[in-house]
Amino acid sequence: MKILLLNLCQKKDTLHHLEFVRPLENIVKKITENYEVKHYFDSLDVKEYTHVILSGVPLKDFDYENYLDKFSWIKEFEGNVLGICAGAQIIGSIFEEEIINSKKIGLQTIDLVKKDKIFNELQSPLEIYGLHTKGFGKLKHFDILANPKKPELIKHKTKKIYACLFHPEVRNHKLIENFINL
Amino acid sequence: MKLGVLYSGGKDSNYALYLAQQHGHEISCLVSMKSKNQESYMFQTPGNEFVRMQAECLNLPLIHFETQGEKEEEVEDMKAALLQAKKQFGIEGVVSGAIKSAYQAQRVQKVCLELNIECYNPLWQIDEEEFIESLIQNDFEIQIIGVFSYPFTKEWISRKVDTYMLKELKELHKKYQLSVAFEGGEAETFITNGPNFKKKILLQGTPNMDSENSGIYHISKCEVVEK
Repeated sequence: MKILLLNLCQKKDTLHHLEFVRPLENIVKKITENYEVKHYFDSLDVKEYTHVILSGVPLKDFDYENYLDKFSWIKEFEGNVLGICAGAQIIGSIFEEEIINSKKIGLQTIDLVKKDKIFNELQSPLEIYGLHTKGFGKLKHFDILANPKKPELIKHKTKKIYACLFHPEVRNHKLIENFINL
Repeated sequence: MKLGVLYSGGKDSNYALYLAQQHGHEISCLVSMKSKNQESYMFQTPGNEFVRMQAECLNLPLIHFETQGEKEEEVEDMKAALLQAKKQFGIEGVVSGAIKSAYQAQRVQKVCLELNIECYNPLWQIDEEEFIESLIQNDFEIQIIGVFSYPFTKEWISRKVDTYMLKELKELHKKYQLSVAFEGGEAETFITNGPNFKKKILLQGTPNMDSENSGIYHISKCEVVEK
């Protein structure tokens, strides 16, 4: 197993790294030391990794939208991918899914509607922390795993790719642990 | 970037301020909410009247904004304070010391979005033991100025947070699951000195207890002195 934690914040090594990447790193390193943290501008050989986690970003950061070509590897990647917030939006964009305006800030509960290993030992309804202004509209390539009317977690129909709009590093560490153990 | 810091005088907002400076940001001002509600979910109240002295030690301007502390109305008051900071000091973003409280964090995020300014929470979800160790290693001088739950007693008030206390807190965490960084509201702290302080503060006072496990440090003297 080798995990890549990909920092999607506009700049490397900023205060935002402490807020959006370090919490993920703290969860990952409790499970394995075999991980790396990189920024999406770094040169990457994703074939080295079995799991990739794409971090969230601050509400006002949409810089990643200008560099979607840097994520084209997601389509052919054979390992497991978990996109969080901006990471989820990038996954949706790469697969040409509909991205709509959908603001959610703070705690809420969501319904888990489809069985999946990522939900092991998690109960529905699930309390989650949201921090996003965009969401998913109509989906062609993904199944909805949580919140059918306003999807919060979706999974590719044939690949091991999860797109999670909420921030599991805040209230749902188990979800990230389950992903790493896939 | 020019930032304002949501400042309570305690360890969290002081360390968030320090991190922002370490990352090269210009701190334009401190914004402190003076709440009349001792039970406020949003804002620390013990020690708040002395933040002016901390601002002097830090050599930073202070906006000290009054709020009745009524739930949700106090958030509107915070928005007004940050708007004042934006107009008066040109802040482009806000730094908060939020660690685990989704209640605080989501309200600060919403206000920043409404004011179209950046929102930084550099302590978000930080490992609490590592946080306290970082404070001690970076020579912050932290005093307990209020205790609000078992097993804390009068003897803890005015004590300094140091390596010895951290060992005790780790033991108490194992026994009672209390938060080493007091995120459960178990205690409140006041910073009297730090690596970014140009001067320091001397506090004198006596514990004033409501019950065996709840009381505050009644500060009779608070003096800014040279380091």
